Amino acid sequence: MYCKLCRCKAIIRLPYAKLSLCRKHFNEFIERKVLKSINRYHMVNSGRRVLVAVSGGKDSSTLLHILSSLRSTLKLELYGVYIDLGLGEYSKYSRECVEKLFKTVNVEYTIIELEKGLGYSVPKLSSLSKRPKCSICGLIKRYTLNAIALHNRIDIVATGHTLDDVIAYIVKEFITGNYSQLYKLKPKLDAIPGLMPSRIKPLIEVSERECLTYAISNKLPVHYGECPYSPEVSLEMEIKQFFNRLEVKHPGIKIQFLRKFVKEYSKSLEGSEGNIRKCSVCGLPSSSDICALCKLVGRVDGSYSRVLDFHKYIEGLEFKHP
Amino acid sequence: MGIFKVKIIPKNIVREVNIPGRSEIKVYELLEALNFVVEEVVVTRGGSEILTEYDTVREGDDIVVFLAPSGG
Ligand SMILES: [Zn+2]
Ligand SMILES: [Zn+2]
Repeated sequence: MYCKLCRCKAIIRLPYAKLSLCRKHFNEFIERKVLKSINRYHMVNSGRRVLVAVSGGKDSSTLLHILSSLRSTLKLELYGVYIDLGLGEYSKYSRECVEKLFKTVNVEYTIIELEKGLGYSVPKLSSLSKRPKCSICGLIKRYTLNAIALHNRIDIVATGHTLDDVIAYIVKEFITGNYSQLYKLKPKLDAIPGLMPSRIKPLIEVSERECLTYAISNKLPVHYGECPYSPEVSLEMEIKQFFNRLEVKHPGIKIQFLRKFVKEYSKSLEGSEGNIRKCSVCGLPSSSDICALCKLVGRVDGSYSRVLDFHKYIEGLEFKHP
Repeated sequence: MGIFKVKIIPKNIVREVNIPGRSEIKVYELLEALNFVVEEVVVTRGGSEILTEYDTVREGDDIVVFLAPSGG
């Protein structure tokens, strides 16, 4: 099988685009696709200081690599962050990969160590609060990214959510009747000046398979292992499997579904963020008087002091050159 | 004859696909035998060569199937 553009050996066939591409042309195709999504969804209108959250997995690593190749075109000031959630060897190896990647792409970065800053790892906080690890993990990541952004005049936080992730969440929120959360799946969430950065998903039209191909073909330092706490079966994974099987029979169906959602549905979600205000304890964004992290730690400890210390820890961190 | 060893990442397991009488097969045949669809995997040979579903693999090749869906 040969590349449609240069007749070199193809590494991937993309039926939805009626293309087979070699390594070089696949890279160019994906980078152009991300640039188009950024423009299509007006992702970088609200500033140029962009923080990229990198976990060490294939998707966020691909995101950082692509944004670094687009930074002069888009005039971006890129910063990276890795959050060490305290998941033992898994976190340790992920961090090694991410630090290598920051060096490769020459992006200033900072590392957040949760156990050092907050005094709890994700598994510890999960067992003390009796809440699932994945929900604690999500909460910590959102909080931390908002806090870093606030203290470093970051305009935009970019995350590695892919086409498959967003589709799986859309369907899951419909199945579980969690309609009020659908607004979060838009390609871009607007900033609230002085309180919250804009949040963007530049990989929203890139599939996980494309991210994986990009990561392997560019030899990115990626942790291909699974999070030790990811469940054996989950609704998201089953939805992904279902859509991947549909895509084989109906090439392009995933992107069509996403675009319909964004075009037809997400307009009706304007304003469904609710009334975002400052948490009365820590000052970070919250949909109620006290934010989710303060509530959680307050319940576990009987005091908010760990959150306030965590906040100071984040405030004291600096971005360093790789 | 006809045994193809495949490492599956991130599960980190090795599976053997037995297709009697064949010393080489197409990648799509291998995926079918493993019950994967093309949209959920990337297949490599020898560590760095990325294969399409129409490439041919031989017995004894160092084949790795990476699963694309992540998270939960
Ligand atoms: Zn080519
Ligand atoms: Zn708070």
